[in-house]
Amino acid sequence: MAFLDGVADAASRQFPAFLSGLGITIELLAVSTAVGLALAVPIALARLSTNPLLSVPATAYAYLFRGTPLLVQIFIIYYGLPQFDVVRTSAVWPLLRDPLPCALIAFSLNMAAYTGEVVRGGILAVPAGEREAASAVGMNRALALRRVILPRAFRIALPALSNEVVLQLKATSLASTVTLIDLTGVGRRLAAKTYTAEGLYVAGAVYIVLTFAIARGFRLLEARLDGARTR
Amino acid sequence: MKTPVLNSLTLGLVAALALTGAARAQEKTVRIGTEAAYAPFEYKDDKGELKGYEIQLGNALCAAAKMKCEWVNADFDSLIPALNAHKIDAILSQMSITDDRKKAVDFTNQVTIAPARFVAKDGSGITDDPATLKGKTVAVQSGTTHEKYVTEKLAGIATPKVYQSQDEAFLDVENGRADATLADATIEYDWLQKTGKAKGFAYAGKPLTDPAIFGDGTGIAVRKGDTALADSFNKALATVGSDGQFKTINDSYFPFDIMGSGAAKK
Repeated sequence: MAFLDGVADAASRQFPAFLSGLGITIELLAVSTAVGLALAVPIALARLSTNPLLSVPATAYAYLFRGTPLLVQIFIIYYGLPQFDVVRTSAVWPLLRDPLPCALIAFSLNMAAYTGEVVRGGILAVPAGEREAASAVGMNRALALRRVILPRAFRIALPALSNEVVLQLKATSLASTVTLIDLTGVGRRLAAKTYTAEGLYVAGAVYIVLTFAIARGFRLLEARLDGARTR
Repeated sequence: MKTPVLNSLTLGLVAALALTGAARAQEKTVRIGTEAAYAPFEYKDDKGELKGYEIQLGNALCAAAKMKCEWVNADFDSLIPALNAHKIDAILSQMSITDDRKKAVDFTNQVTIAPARFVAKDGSGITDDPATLKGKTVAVQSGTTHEKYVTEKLAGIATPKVYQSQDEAFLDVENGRADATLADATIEYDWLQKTGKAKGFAYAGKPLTDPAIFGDGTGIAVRKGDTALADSFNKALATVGSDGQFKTINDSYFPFDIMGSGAAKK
């Protein structure tokens, strides 16, 4: 079939380009997920805090980043910030000059806002009996949090977290709008050169494989955690 | 087995389809694709309305050809795929007539000339001589002849930085992320007048002439084999060229003449 031949041809001829695009996509996903998750726990705890000095800024942050499109955030960080001379003469300019750090900042902050909500939900869903049991055996709040509440909350939130990671994978495609040549960028460049959508089909197929791998990885993690509990 | 009832039903359906088809052919709307981020040729004003040199020209052409036209705004690099997917019927978006594109679409006669030229900071030393671009980053728009020139002719010399729109390319040149941009000298003229000049930017070197890459001016692209539409546009072009409409439009945007050979000038 001519169509399939075209797609196969696009994939094989542009293999090095797709490979480097895949590398950038994975880097964007891995770094933003790691940073996002690391920030998610303090954000969730701050949102749950009874101290307004913690809960108000954390809630404002979550609303700001979940209330604006990711594309707008990337554009503001990449194109918007350098419009101020202060930014261009500051120490962070060498970092912000490159599109990769700009995209990583946007994706990480976005991921933190969304997963912060997921972790918060997980913490709230920890059964009251388990909290009480923790304090009954004499654990103080910090210890109970570390040994009982957070591990349980993490397991409860895991399916929702896997969803966030899959969504994040697709969100990284917006990096192509700030001159990063990720998977989507390679597909688009190819499509622009050949006037067909073949490059985009190849990119789409790779995203499906990645999504499958992520879902499978989380399934294994869930099974492992459940095994540890029932052992 | 076909029953007579079914047969007549089919017949009726075919007839109805044929009728609507005929009716549609008569009042067919020509959908013209354009990338409305290319001031002063095609852009959206503060109210979101399409404005510009080619919007006015396109409307004049449609009026001269007595066609009902409708504008469709899309990214430049998606225009040819959209044309071949029948989402649009023509492209009027400063698209250069190149051999590469002629493999995918047909073009009308030349609508405008389109010299390509570098723009950089005044005094940067950058000219049209490739030696002056060694190690430099050049901002270009995706899917353009300019992208092709930098990726192919300046391979190993300058690094292309590819943007979805020329507006974004200008923005990043301003922000200091690229050393120069390569685009149509016409759109650069508009940008230099509005923002660039005040920020110390200027044309760098002479206009580039490499017909193998830059082609022969711009034209209106139509689907391969759609000669009827191409002919209508060609006739209309000659009309607006000879009755002075084209010149009026041209002069209201540029102090120089960019009218192509397709418009028989007075």
